[in-house]
Amino acid sequence: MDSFRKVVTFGSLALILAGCRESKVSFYRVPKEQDPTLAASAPDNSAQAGPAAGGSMSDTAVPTAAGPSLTWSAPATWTAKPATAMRKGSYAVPGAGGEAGDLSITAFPGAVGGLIANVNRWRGQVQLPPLADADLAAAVTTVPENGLQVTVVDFSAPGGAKRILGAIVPFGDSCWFFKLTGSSALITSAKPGFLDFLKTIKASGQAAAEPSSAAPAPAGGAAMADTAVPTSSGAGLAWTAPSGWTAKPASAMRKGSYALAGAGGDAGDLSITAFPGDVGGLLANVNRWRGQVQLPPLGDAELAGAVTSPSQGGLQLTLVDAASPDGSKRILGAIVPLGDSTWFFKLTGTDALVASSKPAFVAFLRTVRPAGP
Amino acid sequence: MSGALGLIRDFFVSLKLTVALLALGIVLIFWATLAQTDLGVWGVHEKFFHSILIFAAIPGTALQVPIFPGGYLIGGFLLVNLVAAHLSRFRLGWKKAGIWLTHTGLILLLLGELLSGLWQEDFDTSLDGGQTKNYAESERYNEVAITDATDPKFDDVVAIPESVIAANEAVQHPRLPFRVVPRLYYPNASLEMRRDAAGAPPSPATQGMGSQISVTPLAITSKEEERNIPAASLELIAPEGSLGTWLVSPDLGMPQHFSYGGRDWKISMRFQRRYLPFSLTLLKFSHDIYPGTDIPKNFSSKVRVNAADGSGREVLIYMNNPMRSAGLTFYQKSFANEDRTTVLQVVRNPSWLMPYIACTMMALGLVLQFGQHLAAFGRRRRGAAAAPAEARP
Repeated sequence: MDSFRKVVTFGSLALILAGCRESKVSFYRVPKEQDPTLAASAPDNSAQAGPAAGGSMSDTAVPTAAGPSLTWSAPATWTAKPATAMRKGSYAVPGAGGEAGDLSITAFPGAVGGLIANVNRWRGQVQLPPLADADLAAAVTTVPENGLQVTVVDFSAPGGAKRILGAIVPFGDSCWFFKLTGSSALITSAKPGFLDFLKTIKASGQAAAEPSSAAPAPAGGAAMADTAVPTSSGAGLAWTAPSGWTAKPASAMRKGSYALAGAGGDAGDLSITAFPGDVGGLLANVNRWRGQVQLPPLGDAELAGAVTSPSQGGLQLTLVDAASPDGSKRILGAIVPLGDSTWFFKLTGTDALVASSKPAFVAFLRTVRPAGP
Repeated sequence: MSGALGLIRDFFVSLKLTVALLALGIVLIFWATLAQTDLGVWGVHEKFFHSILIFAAIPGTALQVPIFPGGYLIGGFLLVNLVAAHLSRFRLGWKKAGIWLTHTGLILLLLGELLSGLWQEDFDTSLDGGQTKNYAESERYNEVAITDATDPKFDDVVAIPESVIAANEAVQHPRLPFRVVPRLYYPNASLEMRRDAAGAPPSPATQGMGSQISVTPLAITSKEEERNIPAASLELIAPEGSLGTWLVSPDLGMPQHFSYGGRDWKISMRFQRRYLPFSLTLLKFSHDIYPGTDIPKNFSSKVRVNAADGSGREVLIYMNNPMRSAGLTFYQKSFANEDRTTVLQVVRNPSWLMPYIACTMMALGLVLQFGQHLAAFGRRRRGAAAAPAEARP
């Protein structure tokens, strides 16, 4: 029976095909791309991100609060994690024995069900029974901070395996949640730092209203990224970007990121990064940038002639301006040691773009100052 | 037909086999539904449906043994069973046209599912307002991209799938003047600045930012709302010796630059990309809510499709109204960034029409089959009514 043989052959072929999904190395040519920022590459829900405040809320697309936001300063020992669509801020809070607690900062429009519902949601997450309205006042502490009403709660699961130390802050038309999750031991050790951290929370308008006395800002300057990012060494820098620059989302590696528009539609990329230590020393850093524009490395003796080193407001800047021989790429950068870390302000673009942006970049550098009061 | 072949034929045309396969299918679907709690939807797809056999470890050992037929095996046997039974039992003819159509539709449906499993690719592309992109990114897979960025106008990219790195295979690509040798690979990991990770083991990375970062392996996640973020150390070895070892991970967020052979290179691990034959610009994302509530009413993205020849057209993508172009389907999937960013799902499925064709054929076949029966029934009734009275009981 010929047709039957065909059927068996065809069926076997289909089964064999099923095992044939193969991965191959591929090659392709694409139009020139700028280095991506984290926004393009980080998932909204990375495996590292724990559940956002509100548990099941993270599973559905809900609007997060828009409008005015809060700012805060995180302690240097906390590690900033990339913010996600759900999280306004995200930190790993270290404890003893390598354990890390998860601090999520979220905001939602409205009252999100009211204080009792929010408190009871967190209680449910640590297997505690819900509170009655009458018991609420005894279970929470409400303190005024910078004109905000901060309601602090501290709930531990029976047995101490999981504990939530959180703060609920109504602000404008939305409600902000600062939620630190970890083991009971970790929360105990992290609690003083968390309470100090709560004292730094304030409306972003307050931060913007603070005079920037360190340097004259360029006209129409936009305020710095509204999250104060701790550097690896604890101290940070602040700056004021010209309004013509487009702020891009900061990434795990970038403290700040801007796109600078050029004349012919091309865009320059300004990255602001900070690394612990001297990152190999000034010469190595200058030569790394020179290598990126196909320039030969400098010797020790030639370094002083190739860079300028202005100082301002207690900071020692080293300015580097290096262009590739064909003019297709130019790096204008500043290396700024601060405490025991090193900050890099690096503008990359075509020769023409960097040349036209240089005055603005130099003015921008004058606004760089140590962060904090 | 010889005895052995006859036995095989009897086995494959058996109606008992059909019933057994359907029963196995029901068990498989029920089991997979329960397993979704632990494995997530993609894990269940891979383990239960896109597999020949389902394996499980013998308790107390690492030995994996097959314990149940997988979706491909059950579906494959069902297909063979259906076709074989069809060919051996039914003959061509108008009276059987309905059955033929219905069964051919069913065969097409099974084949369509098989081809979807083999060919379908899912990607996402997220666009901020005004942003233009010419690629989409995989929801699950990653790749190492090594880019020759020397030319000011274009990038030459060699993309190495994560599976090649995971298999610890060295890559010698004709477009690369060096070999890429995986030295370390974690399917899911968290990155931390080394300074904040006291006691971290020494970094295998000798180049780029990797030497300042400590990598901690994490358990593989299969939850739907999470994604594994892999990390790998890759050594690049040129004819004259090693160029160094780089740490790569999508979590680094940007490529690392280096120079070799007078050219500018970038190395990164990123979400696997699929470049589109056109680019998309997000003109406007709308998130409408029912007045006075926060309940979403509609999500829509107005995009401009920019063709390579410079021409463009505007398209409105909204729920249940995807855009189809160049064999790709763009669905409104999600949004982020306070309604400023839209997330479109990009699906390539060359066999997407098969279920429609199959269902149409099955519906037509059933109408034909039952129509014929109805007509015959009507004829019999009329015949019975016209028969002489003495012929009636």
